[in-house]
Amino acid sequence: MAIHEQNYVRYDGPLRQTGAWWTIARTSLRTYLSFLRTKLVLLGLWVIGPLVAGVLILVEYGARGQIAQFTEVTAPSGDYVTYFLQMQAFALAVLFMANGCGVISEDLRYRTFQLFFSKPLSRLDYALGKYLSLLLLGSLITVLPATLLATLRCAFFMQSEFFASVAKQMAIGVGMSALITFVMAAIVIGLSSLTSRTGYVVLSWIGVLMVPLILSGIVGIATDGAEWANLWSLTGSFMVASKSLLSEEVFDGPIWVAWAVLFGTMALGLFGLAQRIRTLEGVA
Amino acid sequence: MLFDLENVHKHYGDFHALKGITLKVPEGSIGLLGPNGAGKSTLIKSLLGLLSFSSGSASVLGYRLPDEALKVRQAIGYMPENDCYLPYMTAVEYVSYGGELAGMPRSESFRRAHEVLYYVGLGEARYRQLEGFSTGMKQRVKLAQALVQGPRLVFLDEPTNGLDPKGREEMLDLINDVKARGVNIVLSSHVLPDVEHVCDSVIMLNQGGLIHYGPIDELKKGGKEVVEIETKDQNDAFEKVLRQKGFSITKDGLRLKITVPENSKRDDILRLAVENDIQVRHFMPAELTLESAFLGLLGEHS
Repeated sequence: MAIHEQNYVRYDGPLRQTGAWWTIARTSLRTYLSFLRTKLVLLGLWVIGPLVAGVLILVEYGARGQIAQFTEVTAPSGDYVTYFLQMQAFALAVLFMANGCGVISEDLRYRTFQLFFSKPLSRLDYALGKYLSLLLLGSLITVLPATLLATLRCAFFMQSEFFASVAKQMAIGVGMSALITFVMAAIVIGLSSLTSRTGYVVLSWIGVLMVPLILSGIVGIATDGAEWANLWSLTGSFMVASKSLLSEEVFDGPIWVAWAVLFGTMALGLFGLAQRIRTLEGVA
Repeated sequence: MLFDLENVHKHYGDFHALKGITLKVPEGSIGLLGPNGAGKSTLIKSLLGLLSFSSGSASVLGYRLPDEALKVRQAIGYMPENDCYLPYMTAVEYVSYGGELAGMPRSESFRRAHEVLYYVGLGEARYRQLEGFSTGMKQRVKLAQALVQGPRLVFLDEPTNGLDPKGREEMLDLINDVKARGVNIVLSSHVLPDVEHVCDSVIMLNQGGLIHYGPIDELKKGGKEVVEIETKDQNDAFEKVLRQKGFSITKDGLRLKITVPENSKRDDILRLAVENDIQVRHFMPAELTLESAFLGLLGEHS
């Protein structure tokens, strides 16, 4: 007896000509979110991280007897936003370690390029879809909470004389959140384009973050804590760039280097992706 | 018209993978045959628009390549030879994803994924993850993703690879049913009986060149007589003699299948055996199978 359903009728409906990139992004994000580890990491970063940080801050200020200053109406400092952004960079790094490193490498490993490129989509659709999937995943712990916090903070200062400066700070904060997501997603996608082994991508991602950070620490010690030592690491450069926009402190080094590090690493990551896509001729 | 190829060439550096193929293939079911390295994969990839021809012009289903490659891929389903899925996806997610990538609306793609999975006999397994699928199930889910968007043409690359005899029979039955529903088939396979079972005509390639295109029945008849012969331990020697006289020969176990050329007769074989002192133990007319016809053509062109 035939295995097939005899009443099957072939699809003869409309087919869309564009938008495959959005299908890839949406499906990839849905796949990431279906993993238990992603859910746990997101929960940890959304709830546990801020909770622990909040408790530590309260304990520290309590120990110094400075809790009262929380209730004082003073001009809000941009430093809070800078600290928040640093936490976001850390959270994003952890999230991408748990998920996202396989964005391209798993397609290489499981040869799913054959599925993608036997369908009517261009290489640009594929690259855009994959990059967007990482951006959306990262935004869940960067842009989304930053926007939420910005809204709450602006609402809090709505009727005060500081509203304009707070709104500016929060706009910068959301923008920088988006920037670090773009940068880190580009680096992860670039690393993932280099190999079919996701484990190696995770290790190299840790290496990309940690090695310069250690180097930055060493330079910092050797220079008695010179601020420009931060420029040796990605997160340090991000902090310097954020401070340059949010703080009135004068930086003792060339600010442009921080921006160059951020945009340079992003460009390198995207170049890695472009190289991989370019060499896919006839994958099927 | 399925394909219209006009003197197409493909070079990989110095390697000439396709050598000036000119071919007009009408709608139907076509077998794509050739030994390893003959250019089958290159031809399939080129027809899918994944590779561009070095020179020549080509169109598939009326769409010009490479300008309308995306339209070609929208009208074509492709079932690759090897596995190409993320193991943690379920069958319905995988097939639905394929449909969406082909341009189907999301809800329609999801609905059709269920239908097509029932069609290929995986209805009960549609919510299982692909990593737990057997080889036969994997082959069927690949076929399902090739069919989901309702293509006019499907490329099947070794669809019976790794299947047991029952699974193979079911798969061929399924492909024949797809064909009966008006879908054109291009079947690339090393298993020639599979091609014979499904296809009406064949394209044969060897070393990048086209050596034959035509209906299978015509190829098997070929207007030529075929004789099956066995000698007393002198097959090799007799083969050599016959080849010198222009006979084309394929080995079939202990016997030789000899295609008699148009300018010779069956009796000439016996005459040559007598002249060369070769003892014939078995001599009877034989039917040319696709396999022997294929090997005969390969022999003629090598």
